[in-house]
Amino acid sequence: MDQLLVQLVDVDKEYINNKALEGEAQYKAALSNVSLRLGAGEFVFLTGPSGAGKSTLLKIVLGLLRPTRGQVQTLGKDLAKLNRWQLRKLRSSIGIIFQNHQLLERLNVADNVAVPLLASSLSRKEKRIRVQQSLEMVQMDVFAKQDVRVLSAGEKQRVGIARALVHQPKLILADEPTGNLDPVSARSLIRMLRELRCYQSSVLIATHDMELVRSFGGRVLEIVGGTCSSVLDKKYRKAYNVPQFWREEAARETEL
Amino acid sequence: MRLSYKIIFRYLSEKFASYSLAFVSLSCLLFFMALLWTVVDNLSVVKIEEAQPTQQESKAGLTVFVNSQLNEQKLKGLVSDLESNKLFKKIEKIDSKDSKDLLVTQFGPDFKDLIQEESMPTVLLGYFKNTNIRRADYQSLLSRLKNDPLILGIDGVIDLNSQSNFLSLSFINWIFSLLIIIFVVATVLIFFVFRSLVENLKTEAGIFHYLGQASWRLFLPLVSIAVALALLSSGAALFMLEYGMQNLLARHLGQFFSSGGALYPLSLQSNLILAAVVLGAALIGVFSCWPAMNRKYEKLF
Repeated sequence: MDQLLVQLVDVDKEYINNKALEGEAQYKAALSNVSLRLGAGEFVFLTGPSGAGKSTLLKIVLGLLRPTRGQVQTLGKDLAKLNRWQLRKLRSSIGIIFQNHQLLERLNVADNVAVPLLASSLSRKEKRIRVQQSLEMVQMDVFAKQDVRVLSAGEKQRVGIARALVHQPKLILADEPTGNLDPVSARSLIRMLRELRCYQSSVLIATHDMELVRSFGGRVLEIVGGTCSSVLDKKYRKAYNVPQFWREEAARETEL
Repeated sequence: MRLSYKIIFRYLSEKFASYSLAFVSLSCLLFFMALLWTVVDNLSVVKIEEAQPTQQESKAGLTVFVNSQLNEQKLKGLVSDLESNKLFKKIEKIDSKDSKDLLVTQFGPDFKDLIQEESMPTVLLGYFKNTNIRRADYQSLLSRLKNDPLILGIDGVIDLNSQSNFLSLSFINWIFSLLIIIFVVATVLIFFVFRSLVENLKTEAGIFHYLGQASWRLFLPLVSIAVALALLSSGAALFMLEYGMQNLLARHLGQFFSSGGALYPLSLQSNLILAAVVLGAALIGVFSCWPAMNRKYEKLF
């Protein structure tokens, strides 16, 4: 791992529990003692059941949340030392893919892809070329002038990926990118993201779609109850064929 | 920046009716404000006859002293400049002998020995068109004359404090309070219009926040729209007052005003003040939405 893009050391995150009754804990732990290292060009799945803390971890890496304890470095910067403007600048250099694409409905495809370039110093012509290139990468260049409202869910998600790539980020974070897609579209989308390794971009995908994780493999991180454990590819495919949380869920269903 | 404007204008085109309503309401508020201002402006007058009952032709107003060393061309220029003032009916130049007699009449017999014949100032007599003049116009005329470097001094100035004003202080206070209320209502109206817009832009604000784009990029078009709304509504309201309701008001209430048949229109300065007030209300209203813009974005994951 020659260049570290993300490093979390003993990170805890607690939320204030506003609904806590008397005698109950005032704080709810979302992450506890999480350590993680992500190098350049890595393709990593972050798995775990809903509410395990996957999104919290992504928010902490993005600087949208401050950890309660621990140290976070993203793109070589210690987030605790950055103010909100510097955090915003940091975020603008990361590619983000959302679960339900989160496109600006009032803009066309090309304009949506151009959003991360708003603050960039590139000329208008250079921006146009970048947008065109990103759309070509996801095979959506023919839809450039199309209103996003008429696109299918899969097409919208591809536009979301083009938006995440347009500023050529070193790090791409995806939160449940296949959540709204059929299995075929989901697989093609993950394949597309995996190909980004050629551009030395690291991709961290939070998902609970175990079928996808199983078929693509690679480095897998599992978060259960706020704690993160690394699952090696080989070991995962054999011994961890069914991850811990699935086994627990299956056991509960059997009991019922 | 172009993208932010695109987002906002697309949204505005979808909600055209509500923004048109805001525009009409703001115009009506300003129209009412301008109407009050016009009434106050027209009721607040200087009564020339009351102050100078013995003046010749009953409407003569000011005596202007000009440096006698002034060449003929400059003096002519000054006279024509004064004649062009809408308040004056005519400007009369007094020759040197008559001027000395006039000064003796005004300042007493001792004055004759104080000044040499050659250094006697040139005297211009200004006759007013009307017996009553709006205070604002009278004051602006005096300040213009006092600031003219060619004019040594003026006489016959009416002490405005000595005149009983047609408007009582309580009436002025009442009008002033009403103007403040209108200003507050306009501010609140703008605030709610833009607050609802900000509420509807939560997703856009969230996307901008997550993607590391500054929220002012979305906010700046809102400020531009608020400014445009204020300027357009002031333009519409003042135009309506000037060319429409002015005549209606004058026809029905003209008898109460000094000018009789027609009302004095609002001065350029008053128009600018009113437009600035609405602009101020718009800016306060829209900037009050800034905290909501930064806090109330949608959580995207």
